Amino acid sequence: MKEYDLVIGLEIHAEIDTKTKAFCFCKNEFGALPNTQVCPICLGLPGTLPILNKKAVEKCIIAGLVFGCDINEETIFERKNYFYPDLSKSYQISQFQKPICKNGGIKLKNGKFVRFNRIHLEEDAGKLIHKDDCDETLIDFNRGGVPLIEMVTEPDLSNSNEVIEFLTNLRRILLYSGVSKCIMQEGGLRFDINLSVKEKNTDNLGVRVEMKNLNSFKAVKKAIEYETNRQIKEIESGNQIIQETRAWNDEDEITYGIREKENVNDYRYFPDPDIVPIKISKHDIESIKKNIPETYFDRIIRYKRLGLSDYEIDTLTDEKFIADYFDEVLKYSSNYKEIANWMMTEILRITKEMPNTDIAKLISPESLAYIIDLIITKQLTRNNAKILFEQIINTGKEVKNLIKELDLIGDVNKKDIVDLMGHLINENPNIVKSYKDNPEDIINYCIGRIVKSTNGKAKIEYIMPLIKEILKSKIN
Amino acid sequence: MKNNITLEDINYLSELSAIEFNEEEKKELISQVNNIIAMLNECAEVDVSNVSNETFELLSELREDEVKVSLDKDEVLKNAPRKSEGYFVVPKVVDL
Amino acid sequence: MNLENKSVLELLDLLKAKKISAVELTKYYIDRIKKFNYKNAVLEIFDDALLQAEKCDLIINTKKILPKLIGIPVLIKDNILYKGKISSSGSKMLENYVAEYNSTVVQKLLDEGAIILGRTNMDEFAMGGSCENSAYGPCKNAYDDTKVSGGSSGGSAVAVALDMCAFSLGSDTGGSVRQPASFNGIVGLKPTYGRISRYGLCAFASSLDTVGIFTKDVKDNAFLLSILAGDDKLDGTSKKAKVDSYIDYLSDNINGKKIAIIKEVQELVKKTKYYNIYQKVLNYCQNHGAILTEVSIKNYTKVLPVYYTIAPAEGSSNMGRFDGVKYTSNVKDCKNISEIYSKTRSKFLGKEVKRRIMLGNFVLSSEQYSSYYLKAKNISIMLKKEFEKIFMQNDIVFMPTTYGEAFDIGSKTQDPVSMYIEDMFTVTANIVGIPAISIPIGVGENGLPLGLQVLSAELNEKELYCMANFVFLHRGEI
Repeated sequence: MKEYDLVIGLEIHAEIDTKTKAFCFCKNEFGALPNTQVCPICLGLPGTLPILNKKAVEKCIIAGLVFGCDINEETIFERKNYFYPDLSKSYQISQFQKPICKNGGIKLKNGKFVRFNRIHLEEDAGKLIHKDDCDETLIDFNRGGVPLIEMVTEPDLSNSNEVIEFLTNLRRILLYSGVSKCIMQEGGLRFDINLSVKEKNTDNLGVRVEMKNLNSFKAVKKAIEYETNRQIKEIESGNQIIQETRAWNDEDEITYGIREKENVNDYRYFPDPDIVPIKISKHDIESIKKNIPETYFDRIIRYKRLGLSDYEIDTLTDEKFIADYFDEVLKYSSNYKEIANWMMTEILRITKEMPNTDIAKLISPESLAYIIDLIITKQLTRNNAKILFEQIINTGKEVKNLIKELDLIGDVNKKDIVDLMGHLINENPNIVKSYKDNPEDIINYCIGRIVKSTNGKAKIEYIMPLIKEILKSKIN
Repeated sequence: MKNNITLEDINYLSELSAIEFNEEEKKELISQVNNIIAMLNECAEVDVSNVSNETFELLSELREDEVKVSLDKDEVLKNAPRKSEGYFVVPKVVDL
Repeated sequence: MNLENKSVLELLDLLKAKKISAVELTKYYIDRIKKFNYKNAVLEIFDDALLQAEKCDLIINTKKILPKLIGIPVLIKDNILYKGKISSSGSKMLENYVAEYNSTVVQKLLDEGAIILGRTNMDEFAMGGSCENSAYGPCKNAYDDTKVSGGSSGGSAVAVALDMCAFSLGSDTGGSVRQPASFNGIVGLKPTYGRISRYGLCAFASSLDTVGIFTKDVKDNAFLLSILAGDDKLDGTSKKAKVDSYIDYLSDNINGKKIAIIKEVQELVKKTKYYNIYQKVLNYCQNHGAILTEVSIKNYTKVLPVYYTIAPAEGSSNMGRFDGVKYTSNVKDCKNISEIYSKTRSKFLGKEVKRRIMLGNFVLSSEQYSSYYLKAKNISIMLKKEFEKIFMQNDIVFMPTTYGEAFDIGSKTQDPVSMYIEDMFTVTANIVGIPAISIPIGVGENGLPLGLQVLSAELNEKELYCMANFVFLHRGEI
């Protein structure tokens, strides 16, 4: 059996989180009715001109800074000319000769540094909707003109695990720096993979195949594995690999070649005469730096210092809004371990049950902190805490009111227990008789009854010795 | 630099331009475009090695990220030859 | 009242003094347009022109403070968008295209109370110098039906020359305002690049396009530029510089003004029949205190190939959007999207536009880019610097607008290069980005008008108008 090396390079497109599109004043927002977030500019009507969005450039610079790129002092925008129905002007405004950022990269756990070639700013195209039942394609230009960063790596990756680790980090870094929301289901983060297979210990370069437009980590992993196997099979059957572009079919989990026009690659790039070249000064960069939110790596370090485990950190930081919520709760309570526990269980559970809901609206960080502090100070039992939590989520009522309403807090003293046990024994004198033969069952039975009749307030560790004492005294 | 445009070049450019020409038009184009290119080639002798662009805009002068009203809904598809339920329509696109 | 050939400023006085009404004036111009219909200068009279005029009269009769152009009827070139009106850029491609929005210049006209009478004929997508490339037939010269009007803004020039409007707007990418102004004996300005917003001007070559103004005299022109110029948030290339009230600076004194003459231009002019009259103008100015200096720009003649590289390149890209998907014209029953593109573009674009798209794609194609487009861009930067140097020592540059009078219709249509060469003196201001104005200075041997170009430094329209006004007012004595 021959052995093979994989050579993988990536092109990643991330939608930049801005209020408006890259070159016009339209809302940059997902999910509106078709062609309702369009204007003469992004529709490319005659006579319209692109007006570059400062925020989009600044966020591209932030991306460059968080990945350790060099920021070009001068940057220019170019037109990439080709005909396609999702492209309103028949050219895409992109960057070619002088992108905003060059170099930089991400270090993997195994020590490998994956280099970026460049990060540039460009506009997204509209969306094509292919109808199955007829011979038509529909065009929605709402996405047309949305700002994107395109990140191009060098072919430094060698297997799908590295790719996934790289992309996981990349996504989180972008997310925490506020550059992109990276919502993959909405196409907010998309991947092109360049992959070639070459025989180990030879100098023969493989033939590069490009896979376009993957939009989940799962698809990336599967596509790499499928394509690797396919290429090895081809090589071993003595066939030539064709340099081509392939698409990924998510249902059948296969890649397939897509026909491209011969001349389609001559994009006739030239500087867009409608956009004056931009000067980015050291001062610009310094003031942008000041406004970068806490980076992903800084957040990890802070959580480590708190004493969270790697697993907890990994889980909590996967989505920024969860980590942000965690930080909010931390503002009201210092019991970080207990908070982390609640985050990992209850909070993660409700974000899965109710995606796209603002957790803070379901339960304010202050309320959660309050509950947690009650647990730690043993005023509230864990069981009652869960009941309280559920009730807040379901009713939206205020935490303190609910505690009163449900009577979840209060001291249960020795006299209360003596009285309750007296009641129990009166009701059922057999308890005392059976205790001799079967003490454990009887104690558990009594605990259950007393917890219930005290509305859960009675703490087991407190009432157990009392119950034993009372039962023992009755026998004698 | 090029001195002579051929039929092959014309076919290539015609595809890039998304314009069809018949044989006669192509013949005429070859001779006309060649005449024009001969004129354009006068630039070849000029030395531009020390030239660089000096027109710039400062980053701080770019437009702020503020939403303004989009196009009136009725206007969007007004001129479209084929439309349906708020969409522009084209024949089914198969290739990527 | 005799309204013939009144200037904008004269008409404003009459309107404000209520000696004429806006309706009266509008009717007068509509009659003139109809009378000269055969020239093919005006493509459409907007059906609400008289309604606009009535509104103006109401304002004049009720308001004390009046907008600056109240009641003044104007014609606009067919590539300047006016919301709700067809704007076809002289092309079959946009035959039924109704503008969805107002261009910045139209908005300014409307805000100042002007009456937009209609739209004028032009070379398709402003690609041409004779108005023979209009999909709606050529526009004829104001003085001779066998001669071209010039172009591309031929219709707008003829309309002012034959008094079909108080003034008109055109666009100038390589001489499209100045050359027809010269051929029809009127005043035509191409301002500094970015001086007047391009928003809503259907683009030909974005780095060269300007909106220009046709008037009957220099004073009107200066007055109008002050109204139409200015920074625009919708045009990223518009200039932020202050706009002056240019008419306040017009004087009859050119004593001590420094005029530069370019040696390489002189050599070209010497061979023409234009030389005599041109020389007389120079002498006249010298006799009135101007200081003439000859300067040299070694690569001057390269402006023409530079222009015919940059303009088609940008044009080919700008024409891409006309693909049959978003605008009215397309070929029905196409099997696939590629067919829609190629059949629509082949059917609805004219010969010259197709030729320039092909040429543009040639100079931009990956193999040719650096030897053509990039080179031309660099030469244009060189030329810009040369002119900056000249304007450090001089106030004004003089040159002819054209080689001669208007030529015969059909005489140059078969040979594109012969047509392109006509632009030798006008493309310079576009390549360099500086303002230039063409003013009538006399007639040639065929009895047709000839124009002189006055050029000044970037954003220095003040100086340009001063000199142009002097020559214009004294043209009878030359």
